[in-house]
Amino acid sequence: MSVIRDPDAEKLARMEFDEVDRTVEGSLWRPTKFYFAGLAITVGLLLMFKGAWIDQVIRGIGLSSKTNPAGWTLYITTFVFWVGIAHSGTLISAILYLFRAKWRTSIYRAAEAMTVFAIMTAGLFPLIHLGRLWRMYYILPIPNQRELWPNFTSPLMWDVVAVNTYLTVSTMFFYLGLIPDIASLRDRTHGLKHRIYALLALNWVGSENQWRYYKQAYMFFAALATPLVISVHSVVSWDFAVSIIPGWHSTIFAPYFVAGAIHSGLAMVLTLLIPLRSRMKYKNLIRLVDLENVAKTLVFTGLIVGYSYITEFFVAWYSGNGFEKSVFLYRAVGDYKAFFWTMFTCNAIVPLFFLSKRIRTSIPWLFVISILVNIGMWCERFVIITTSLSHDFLPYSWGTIKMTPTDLMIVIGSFGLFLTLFLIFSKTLPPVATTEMKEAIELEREDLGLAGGAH
Amino acid sequence: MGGVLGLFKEPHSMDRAAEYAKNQGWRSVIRISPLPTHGYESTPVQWCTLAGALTGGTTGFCLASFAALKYGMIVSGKPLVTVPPYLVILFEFTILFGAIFTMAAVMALAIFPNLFFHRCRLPVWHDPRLTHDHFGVFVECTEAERDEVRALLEKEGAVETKIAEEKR
Repeated sequence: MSVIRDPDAEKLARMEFDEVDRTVEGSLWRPTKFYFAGLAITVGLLLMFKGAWIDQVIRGIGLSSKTNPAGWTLYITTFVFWVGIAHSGTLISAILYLFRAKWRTSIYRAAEAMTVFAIMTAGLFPLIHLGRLWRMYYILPIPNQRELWPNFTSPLMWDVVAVNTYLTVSTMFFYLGLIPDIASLRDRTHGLKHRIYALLALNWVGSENQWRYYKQAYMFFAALATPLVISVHSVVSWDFAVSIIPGWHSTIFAPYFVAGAIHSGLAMVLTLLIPLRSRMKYKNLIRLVDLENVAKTLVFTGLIVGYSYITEFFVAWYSGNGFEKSVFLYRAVGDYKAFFWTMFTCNAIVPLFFLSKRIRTSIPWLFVISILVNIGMWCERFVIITTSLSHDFLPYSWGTIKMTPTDLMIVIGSFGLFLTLFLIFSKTLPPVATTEMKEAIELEREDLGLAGGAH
Repeated sequence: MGGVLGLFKEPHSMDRAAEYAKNQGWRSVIRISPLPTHGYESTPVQWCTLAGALTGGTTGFCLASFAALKYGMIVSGKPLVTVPPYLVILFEFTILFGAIFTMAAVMALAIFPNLFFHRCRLPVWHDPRLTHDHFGVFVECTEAERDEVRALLEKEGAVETKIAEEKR
C-alpha cells in the first residue's frame, strides 16, 4: 500500500462500475444540434473530397500539382500524414498495454478508432495519386493472362503489403477489444439497437473460459501490433530513403519517420479527445492527468523530431556533399521556406511549451498546441517530399510546384472523411473502453486495499 | 438442465463461492464477470498464433520469390531471389497471418461454441447485470438440488440468486 496517496488513483478506485456504464451509454445515440452541425461540416468536406476526386478521374491527373520535377506532391504528403497518425493509436492501445501504462485506459479506444479511420483514409491516397486508379490492379500479385507479376524488391510493393497488413490487423484488434463493451451495450438497450449490438457482440457473455482465451488473444494482438507500428512507417519512409536524390537518400529516415508519426498521432489524439471529452461529458473517465500524460509524451517525441532535424542538417554539412548541402539550404531559405519554418517551429519548438505544468494542464493550450503540431507535421512531410524533388542534383532539374484547387480540396476533404467516420463512431460505439475502465478501477481498488470494502 | 445463478458484487466473493461450490462436489460451476479478473493464462490460442506466424513468414517469402522467378526479369545483374527486400514482405506476412490465425482461434474457442451451441441464443443463465457491474456464479443442478445451491451461494455472499432454466 502506498504511503503517498495519489488523488487521481483514489478517485478512480472510488468510482462505481455503474457510473462508467451510465456515462458512456448515456452519451451514445442521442444526437444534439451541435452534433448535427459538426456532422454537416464533415460530410460537406467529404462531399468536396469525393467531388474533387471524381473530377480528377474524369479530367485527368493534370488537375493536381504534380509536374516535372516534383512528381510526388500533396497526395503522397497526405498519405504519409494519415499513415503517421494511424501509428500513434496503435502505440497507445498496443504498446502501452504491454507496458501496463495506467493512463492509457480511458483514451485508447478513441485512439484505436483514430487509427482505423486514419489508415482507411491513408489507403485512398495512393489511388488518388495514381490518377488512373484502376491501374492499381497491376500491383496485386494474382495470376493474369499477361503473365505480369509485381516486383517485390520495390518499396512501393512493401508499402502495399505493410499498409494492408496494418489495416487488417488494426481493424481486428479494434473489433476484438470492442466485443465485451458491445456486449454490455447489448444488455442495456432495446429494439433495433439491441439486435445490432447483439449481432456485433457475437453472444459474448463473459464466462471464465471466454475471458481466458480472450485475454491471451488480446495480449498476442498487442504483441503483434507493436512491431507493426515500427515496421509499417519504416517501410513508408523507405519509399523515399531507397532513392538516390539528396534529401531523401538517408539512413535516418526509418526512426525519423516513426518518431514523427507518433508525434503527429499524439497531437491528433489530443485534437479529437478534447472535444469528445467535453461534449460527451467524459471528464470523470478521460481525466486531465491522462491528457497531461499525452502532452508529456508529445514533448518526448517533439525532442526526437527536433533532434532529427538538427542531425539531418549537421550530416548534410559534415558530409561535405555539395548536393546534400544545397538541398538543405534550399529547404531553409528557398521557395518553400514558409513550410520549412512552420514545420520547425510547430514540431520542435511549440511542444516544448508542454514542459510547463500550467500549460499542459490547460485544456485550451492542449487543444491549440495539438492543432499546431498537426499542421507542422503535414508541413514536414511536404518539406521532405516536395523540396527534395524540386531541388535535386543539377540546376536544370530544379522547379517548383503550384498547388491547385483540386489538390487542396482533396487534401482538406480527406479530413472530412476521417472526421465523419470518427463522429459516427463516437455516437454509436463506446468511445471509452468500459470493460478496461472497470478493470482499471478494480486494480486500483486492490492496490489501495479498498477491494472488498468499497461498498 | 438449468441451475442457479448467484450474483455477487465483488470478484473475490465470486471466486470464493465458486471454489466452495467445487469443493462441495458440484461439477459444473461457471464464473461470469464483466471484466477479466484473473491474470494471463496460457491457452491453445498461442499455438495458433505461432502456426500463423510461421505460415505467414513462409508464404511471404515464397510469394515474393515466386513473383520474381515467374516474371524472370534480371535487372542490373542482381539475383532474382534476394533476402533483404523479401525480409520486409516476410515480416509483414508473419504479423498478418499471426494476427488472422489468433483471431480465428479466439473466435473458434471463445465465441463460436457459445454462438452455435445454444442455437444463437444467449446461455440460459445470462443476466444483463453480468456485463454491467455484477459477478456471477452459475451452478448447474437438478430441480431438487436448487434450494441447496441457493443456500450455498447466499452463504458465500450472493446479493441475489435466481433460477436459470431453459424456456420451453
